[in-house]
This record gives sequence, structure tokens and C-alpha cells, in this order.
Amino acid sequence: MSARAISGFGLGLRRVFCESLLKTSRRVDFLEIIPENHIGMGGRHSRPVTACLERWPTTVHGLSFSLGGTDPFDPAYVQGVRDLARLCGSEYVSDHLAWSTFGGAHLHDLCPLPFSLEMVEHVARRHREAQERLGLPIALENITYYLRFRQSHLDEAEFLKEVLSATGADLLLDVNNLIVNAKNFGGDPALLIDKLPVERIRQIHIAGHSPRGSMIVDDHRGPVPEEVWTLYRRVISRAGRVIPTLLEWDTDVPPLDVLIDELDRARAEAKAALADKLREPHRAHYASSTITLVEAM
Amino acid sequence: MSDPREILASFLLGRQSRLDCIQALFGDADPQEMEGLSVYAAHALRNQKDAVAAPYPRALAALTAHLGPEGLDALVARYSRAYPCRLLNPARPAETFPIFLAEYGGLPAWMVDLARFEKRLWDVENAPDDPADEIASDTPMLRSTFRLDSYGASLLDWVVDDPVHPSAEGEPPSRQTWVVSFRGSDLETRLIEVGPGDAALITRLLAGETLGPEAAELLLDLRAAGAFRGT
Repeated sequence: MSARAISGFGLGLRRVFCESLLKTSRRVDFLEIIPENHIGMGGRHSRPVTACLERWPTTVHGLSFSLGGTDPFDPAYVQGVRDLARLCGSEYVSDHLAWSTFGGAHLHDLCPLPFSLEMVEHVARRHREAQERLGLPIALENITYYLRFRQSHLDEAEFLKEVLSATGADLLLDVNNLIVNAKNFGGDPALLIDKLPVERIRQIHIAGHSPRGSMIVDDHRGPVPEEVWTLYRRVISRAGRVIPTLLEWDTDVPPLDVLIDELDRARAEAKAALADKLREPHRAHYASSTITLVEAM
Repeated sequence: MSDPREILASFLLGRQSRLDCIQALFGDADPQEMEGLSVYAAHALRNQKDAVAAPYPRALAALTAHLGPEGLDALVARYSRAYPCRLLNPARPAETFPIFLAEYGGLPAWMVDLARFEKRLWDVENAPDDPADEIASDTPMLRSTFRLDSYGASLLDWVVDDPVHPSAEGEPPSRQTWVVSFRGSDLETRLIEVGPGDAALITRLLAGETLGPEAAELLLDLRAAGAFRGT
């Protein structure tokens, strides 16, 4: 399939709602598929997934490149991601600023990295090699972390900036992850947003989270919380453009209409953020291009 | 061991205790770091259980009834230590689980058979599509997903009466059975119990032997069921 750019407001594709998605007349602009759930699958369950990929522009979002890890890249996995990206017409692939394998074993989680310059260099080397093997750009997503290593001497914003600078990668900004990290370890996610190079944000993830003991965990459960919407508006306002925005809802997935209601909300929030920006007199130089974007939504 | 990734991995793979991990990472047991480590441990267990639950829902229900929820968690954790996931293949998740159960000991034999049976169901249902399956040839060839398995319990009726909602009640009748399985051209899974005579013939067929007239009726039945390519 030839390349199809994603834009607007999309859903993380899950098997539970594939059939409903194919029947809906409501607006879903794009999809995101997780290769770990679909590579090599055949049979009747794969048919609705394939039908969705044919109908919607889709981007591929991996979990297993383990870009912060040390294990060699799995050639079969790389090939599977490449084939899936080709099937989807995906212009890029995304994965996480994390590691998920060690000594050849999958840890079933996205584990945190020390926020250090040494790790920045390591990730840059791995990212370059992964892109060469894949033949496609790999955008990087910020993760949630539940531990902070003693080896960290940068804060999260500094680490993200350094990684983006060293890799030249685009950022898949998970707004919910910033909120979760701030709730668990303090800090102001709005200030973090202000430090990031917003022109490098290629895609946004929004999702919900839950308390677990004294911590907040990123479990993609429930509607997007108000604080995530607030931060989302700030990102869009700072960027001055609509950034492709994807809803992740993986725990207790509700009927499709509830998911699409959240996409409609995201569309409204982005529109409001851009309209608010128009009213900011000191940023009037953005106005003409923003009007076009708001009208296009 | 000074790389914090190695320390955390060692804990998540069950090779190091929580306290040792915390001490190696932070020097003392800070409550917040302990809580953080618990989050990773809980994620790992949940994801390991999910990987097993997808292909083995009935076996997991039976194991839960037999061991209790905590016993099941311990079993899954032990499985993950014994057989850490080396290859993420969604078509074959937790494929070593039946082997592990057979080695585990102390479980009713039918539970191991049930896991083997569910693995076969999963494989048939989700195996990659083989275009050759849709091409008829002069020499009858079995579909790529065609398999014959033997079990010490009569699982077919016990399991397949409700394929959507697994039941953990009771146990299947103890009886030697042979079950043919394959994915038909309509993508539906076919399960056929055969007797010992037909099982012997099918074993020869799968070994590549050309069968004589003694297999004529069996071959007709298999063709009618859609077991051959292009049918």
C-alpha cells in the first residue's frame, strides 16, 4: 500500500471493537496498530483487522524495539514491523523511550532508563541502528516510570530534549504519561511542555490512569481525565497546529461510541485551544495559519 | 552488577528478591521506591497472566479452581521464570505452557491435556494464512493446519459445547481419544474425534505414506469435512 499520512483524531485499534468500527458512520480519522498483537496472525480473527487497515490510514506503534536496552534487535520482529508498516502505508513507526528485554527475555513491560547523557548516547546509537534495519523513521514516545535511578542527573524534560537532539527523532508525546509521572514524583508537566521542542511532536497519545497504592499507574482505563485535557490544550496551543491525536483505552474497553465520544471531545479541545491562541494578542503572528487550521477541523 | 537495567531485569525475571533489588538500586528501602518496584512486579504478573489467558482460558479456569487465585499467580510466576518469553509471537503466545504444566507435577493429567488441547485450538484458529491451502491438486494434500493429537481425557464434548464461556466445573471423562483438527476454507475450526484405527491411518498419512484401499472410507470422510487443500 502506498504511504498514507495520518491526521486528525484516531483510535488505538483493538480486536474487541474491529467489527463495530467497520460498521460505524461516525468520524475516526486514523488508527494505530500494535505489531505485537498482529504480526503473523491469520484466520478469521485477522480479517476484520485487515479490513480496518485497508480503510483507515494507520500508523504502527511498537512495544519491543527496546531502544534503551542492550539485546540485539530481533530480525524477525523488525521484518514483521516492516511488513506491517508496508501493509498499512505507514510513513513512520513509533516505539518507546524504554527497554523491555534483557538477556534475550521479554520483561512484559516498558522499563525506565536512567536520565543521563550516557544513556542519551546509547539510545541514539540504538535508534540509528533500528531505523537503518527497519528502513523507516522511528518516532519516540515518552513513558511512565515508577522508579528513578540514582544514575539520573537530568530531569525528564532535559532527557527528552537531549534524546530528540541526539537522535533527530520526532516525538510521540503521551500527555497522560507526563501527568502520571508528575503525580508520582512531583514537578509541573506544563513547564515540561514549555521546555520541549513542540515542532518535533509528530503525534499525541491521550489516555486515562488509576491509583494503585500510593502511586498512579498508566493503565489506559476510563475516560481521559480533565487534567490530561488541560495539558493537551496547552500542547496544541503551544504548537499552534492540530497534531494527530490518538486515544488509548485498553482496560475495560467500553462500546465504540464511547471511544468516539472521546475523539469528538479531543477535536473540540484542540479547536478551543487554537481559538484561544488566536485571542492571545502577543502571539498574533500565529493567527493567519491558525485560522486556517481551525476552519479545517 | 551495577547497570540498573540489569538489576531491575533480574528482579522482574524472578532471580533477585525485591529487597535485594532495592538495596542494589538505591542502597536502602525507600517506601516510594518499594511501591514503584511493586508496580513493575504487578505489571509483569498481569501481563504474564494475560499471555497465558489468551490461548488457555479453560485451563486457567481449571487451574484457578484447583490451586486458588494465589496458587495460580505462583504457578504463572514460576512458569515465567522457567520459560521466560524469548520471542514475541502473537500467533504463539505462551506456547511452552503445556510443557511446563507437564513438568510441574501434582496436577491432574487432564489439566495438562486441556492445555495441550487449547494450544491446538489456538494454533488452528490463528496460524498464518497459507495461500497453498486454497489450491486443489491432483494428489490430495492435507490443509496446512491439519493435526492429529491424542488425549487421555474426552475433551471434545466437554470443552466445545461452550467455546466462548469456559467452564471450570467438574472434569472431563477419562478416556483415550484422538482428535483431528484443522482450519477449513471458511476459516472455521474443525474438530473431529476419530477411533484408534483411523488415528493409525492418519498418522501414516501425515508421515507421507500413500494409503491403500483400507483408507478409502476415511479419505472420503476427510474430503467431505474439507481436510484437503482446495476443498
